[in-house]
Amino acid sequence: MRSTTFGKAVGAAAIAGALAVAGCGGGNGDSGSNNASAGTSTAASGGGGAATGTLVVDQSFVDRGVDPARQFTPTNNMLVHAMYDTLVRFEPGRTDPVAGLAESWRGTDDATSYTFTLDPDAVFSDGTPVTSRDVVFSLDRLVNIKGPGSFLLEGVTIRAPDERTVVVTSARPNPALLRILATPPTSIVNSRVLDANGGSAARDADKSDRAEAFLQKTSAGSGPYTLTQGQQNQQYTLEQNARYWGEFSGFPKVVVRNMAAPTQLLNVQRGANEIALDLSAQQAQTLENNDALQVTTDASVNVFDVEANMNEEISPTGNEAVRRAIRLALDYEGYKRLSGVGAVQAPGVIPSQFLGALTEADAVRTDVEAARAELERAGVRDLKVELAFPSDATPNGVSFSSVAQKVKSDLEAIGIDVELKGTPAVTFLADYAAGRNQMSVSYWGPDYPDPNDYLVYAPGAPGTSRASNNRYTREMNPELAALGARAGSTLDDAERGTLFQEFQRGLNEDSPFFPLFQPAQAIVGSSTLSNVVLDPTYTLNIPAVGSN
Amino acid sequence: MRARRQSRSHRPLVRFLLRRLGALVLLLIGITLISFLLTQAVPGDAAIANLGQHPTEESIRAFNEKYGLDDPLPVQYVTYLGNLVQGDLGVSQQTHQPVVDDLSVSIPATAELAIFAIVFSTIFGVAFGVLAALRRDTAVDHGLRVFTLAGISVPMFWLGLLGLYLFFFKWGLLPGGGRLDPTTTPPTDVTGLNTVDALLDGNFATFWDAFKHLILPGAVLVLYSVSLISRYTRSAVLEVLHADYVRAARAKGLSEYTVVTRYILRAALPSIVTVMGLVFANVLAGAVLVENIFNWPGIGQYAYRSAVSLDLPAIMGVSIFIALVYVIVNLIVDLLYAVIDPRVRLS
Amino acid sequence: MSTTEAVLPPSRMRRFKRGGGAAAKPARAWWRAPTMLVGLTIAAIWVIVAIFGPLLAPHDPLAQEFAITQAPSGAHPFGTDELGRDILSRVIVAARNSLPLAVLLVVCAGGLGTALGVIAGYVGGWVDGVIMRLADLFSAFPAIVLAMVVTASLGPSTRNAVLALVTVTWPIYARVVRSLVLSIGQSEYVQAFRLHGASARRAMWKEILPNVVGPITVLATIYLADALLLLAGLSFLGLGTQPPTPEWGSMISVGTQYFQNWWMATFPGLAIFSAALAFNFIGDGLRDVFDPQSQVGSGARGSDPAAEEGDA
Repeated sequence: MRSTTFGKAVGAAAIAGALAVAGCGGGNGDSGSNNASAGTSTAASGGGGAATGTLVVDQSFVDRGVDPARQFTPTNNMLVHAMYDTLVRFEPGRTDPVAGLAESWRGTDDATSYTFTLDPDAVFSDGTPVTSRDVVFSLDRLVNIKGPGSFLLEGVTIRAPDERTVVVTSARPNPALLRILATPPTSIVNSRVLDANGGSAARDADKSDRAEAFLQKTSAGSGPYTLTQGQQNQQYTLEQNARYWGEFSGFPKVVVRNMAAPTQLLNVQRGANEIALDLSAQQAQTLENNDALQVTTDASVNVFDVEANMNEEISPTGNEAVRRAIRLALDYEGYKRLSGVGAVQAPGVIPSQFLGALTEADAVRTDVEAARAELERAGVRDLKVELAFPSDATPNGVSFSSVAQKVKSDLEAIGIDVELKGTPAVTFLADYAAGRNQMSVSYWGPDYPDPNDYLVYAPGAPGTSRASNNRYTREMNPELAALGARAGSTLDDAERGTLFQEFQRGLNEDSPFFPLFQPAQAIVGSSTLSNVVLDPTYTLNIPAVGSN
Repeated sequence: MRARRQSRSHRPLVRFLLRRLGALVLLLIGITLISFLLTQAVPGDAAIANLGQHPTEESIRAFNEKYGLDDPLPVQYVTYLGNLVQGDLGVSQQTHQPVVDDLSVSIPATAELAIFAIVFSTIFGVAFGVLAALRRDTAVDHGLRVFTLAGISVPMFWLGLLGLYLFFFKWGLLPGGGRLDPTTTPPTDVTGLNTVDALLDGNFATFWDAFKHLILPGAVLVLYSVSLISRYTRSAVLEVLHADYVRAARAKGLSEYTVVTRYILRAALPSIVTVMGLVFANVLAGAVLVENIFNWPGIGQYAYRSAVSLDLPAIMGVSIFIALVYVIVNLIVDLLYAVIDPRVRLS
Repeated sequence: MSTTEAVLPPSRMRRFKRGGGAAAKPARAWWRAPTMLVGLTIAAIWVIVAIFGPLLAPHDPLAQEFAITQAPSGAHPFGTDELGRDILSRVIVAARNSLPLAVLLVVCAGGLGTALGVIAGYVGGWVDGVIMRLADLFSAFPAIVLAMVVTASLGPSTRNAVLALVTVTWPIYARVVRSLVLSIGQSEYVQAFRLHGASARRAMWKEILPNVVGPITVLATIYLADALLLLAGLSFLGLGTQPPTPEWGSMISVGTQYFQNWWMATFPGLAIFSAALAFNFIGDGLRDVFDPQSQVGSGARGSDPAAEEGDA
């Protein structure tokens, strides 16, 4: 019932192993996947025979519409991915880019420029071919609309030397660029159709573009599905794109509807071809013995954390000893339990599924005695802090309120008096962004499945970042800031992974961030369905879902 | 006042309507001003809340510019009023759609629920009220009294949950939320009321599906309204039960049925009409909680979402709509009252 | 969400306006006593629970010390919640929070409404106009919607929830009081005094006070139930009392997240229901004992154009 408006989250991944940027020389990592639940196949095209009937997907919506350039929420990413193609894309549950609209691509050695060659077969749903003009238009439009996804292509320019070639150039080395170009905001739209319907990619597109209402009624992409009906915050009906240029193995009709988690639990048991995306681990557990359903529970790629303000004038957590005490006092095992079976402790800010994640060995261990001693040694007592949290959000079925209450209980055990301050996300975010909160319960859902997305935690990270939210400046730890910058521009993935691990150890040493846990995330679907897999980027890869 | 309205020509009626209209304009200005000031008093930042995890300076600037959030407050307000006069309620910050469009989708949904609730609660409420009055101080009366008191004591949101748990989860008798089954094709949009549109299409399967979805949320609202109507009806009927003309009718040997329908109900009608205004307001208010529980895509859900995300244009749009309904319903009630009050006519 | 408006004032006001009609005053029947008695008993139990809550609660309502989400058992008759707290203890201690708040809300709204109603009715003229227009304004919003906006703006907290609900509920009292004052002002008794100039004022006060106190008391009692429901509704939407303070509405709200664990929402819901029912039983009984109509007496007779205006 609560639609969360808090940040952006992408679904849980069930990918293990290192990640690689294909086309840039990095070795493909191991893909020992543990996501093949109930014997479903993992390959995109492995959906079995032609599915018939209607696939129903229940999700608790955060709906900002399905204009690719204006949205950036899990709900909309999932829908946009079904209707639009990107230059490269991910197979269900994976994070290594494979060919999309581009049949091949080549990156320069310094990771500043990529040249894509478009697939000659690719056509939009109106039958016109996809050209480099459409790509330039779409990516420019994303940047110039200045929406929630515009940051993805910050400092990036797009050129089209000929009809089938696109060159994407970044001002600084960006090893994450290829993965970014697989995210739904970078979807390619039909520029001719948009031109005719008020669309604009010009520099002032934030004012001149009027295509949003049009795209809410009609899709203008080359993806496997077209939009039949879009009722915002209620339900979307998609139908097979009759002119789809690729291989189609999904359901001819898909309904995605907004449902609160409790209702999803009931629906999935009653429907024929249903998938529920927001069940908590505990709810999913009640279905484990149901033969008609396949249940997968895993750690989500979202990371819950507690954050503390570094500015001593704002908060007592500006004191290093206080932060050390807090880190030791948190009952990490307890947070896992709160979320349910499948949740894991987050050893660092980067989730376990991604390149550069820390291992369990690096995880902070709870030690209440040591925490008390820490406070005693520093001679601080009668500590009082205010802990802010968004009261109306429950990502992955874990309410911030429950987490905050537990933090309060943990910190009071070492004599820190905590006052809870829950406000609707909109108010919480305003204080948070302005760096006014003393302490906050927060979380991060990846924008794209790459460790570079976590540089927002680096001291002095620019703009509205996790660092700025907590007044964590570059001067507080210049070495760590430099390490982060180096990790973010390193090309070799093995080396990049190691650097990011080191970076996170630094954060765990003395930073305002206390990673708590990756919540359990369940996906439940009728057992006749194939590819019922949580995807770290698209939440659910709808076109891949077929029937066995 | 009412007597005067009757005795003179139409002029007082026109004046009465004009005065109401004037009051309505004042009311709208007041309501928009209050919503406006309240949402401005907020420490919230709409741009930050709507731009995801990575708001860039550029995107924040573009957002504020688009929604006119950089203008001084009085300018913002006057701009809003100017647009309002032209029927433009602005663009919702969270759906990115014109508020008018959002409302035109959610109003029929709530209307369908409200009509269902009002029709059924009137039927049962009047029946219970008459029954309780006629059987005054018997077990029936006492039973109904306890029932109606219980009806206004039960928290609606809890009752809704309980209903979902039992009728949907445990027994699987009724659907668990929404207006239609996802596999059902929505009927041709004529009135926006799915049940009516389905009947217009001649599609009984769709009608039945839409109706089944109405039952649970409708029943929760009905229980509350039934209590109100029945209590009002009871006291209205008691008032006229021993009136001379009722006695006279009885003395004439008219059947009990005729006495009740022709005389008693007729006399009690003004009171029942009066409570309808109230029932309407209560149904709208109850819709906020009920729609959230049953995932009913109506005004209530829209109001909740707008309020918690401080979506100013949407909040103002909903408030204006609800105030309009309130004023219009009260107006109708008062007009009806003047038309049907038998005492006015008798005198 | 206003039960009260239906239960008491509008009917009274219509009666004033209509004047006449053989207003059948219901006799006090034998069976009323039982509901009144039941109401008083339940209310008394809740008051005791509210006062001695911490002593009665088997566990610390805040202690997260048990296995999470256990079904009801001998050790935890109402089960445990998502943080391993004893729900029975939380339901008990929540009474301490919910009941005084409901009383506070009624006292504040009743006080404000009475004061404004007296002023409007007594001073009349443009002051009356302004006050009643304001009353219209605030009742044109459904209580819960305006309260939502207020708490969303000012931040959810117990104080703001009460503030928000006072804002939307005072007109109920103001309307009743105003029309009582007006009808008293027109009674022959006061009219007669009015001829004697200065002493009219004293007569007004002498007449007003006793006549207003009765109806307002009844109204307040019935409204207590409503206040309880409104506060719980706000908390249910996450806009009222903040955690970790136990509150019935927010406990139900958490219960919706754990839908399959029926005990998490059922018991707090029963608590609200029983308390609200008790107040409604009492109010219903009081209404007859304290019937405002009989007290206002003949002063209420006759149509009252001024009262009409406030009813826009």
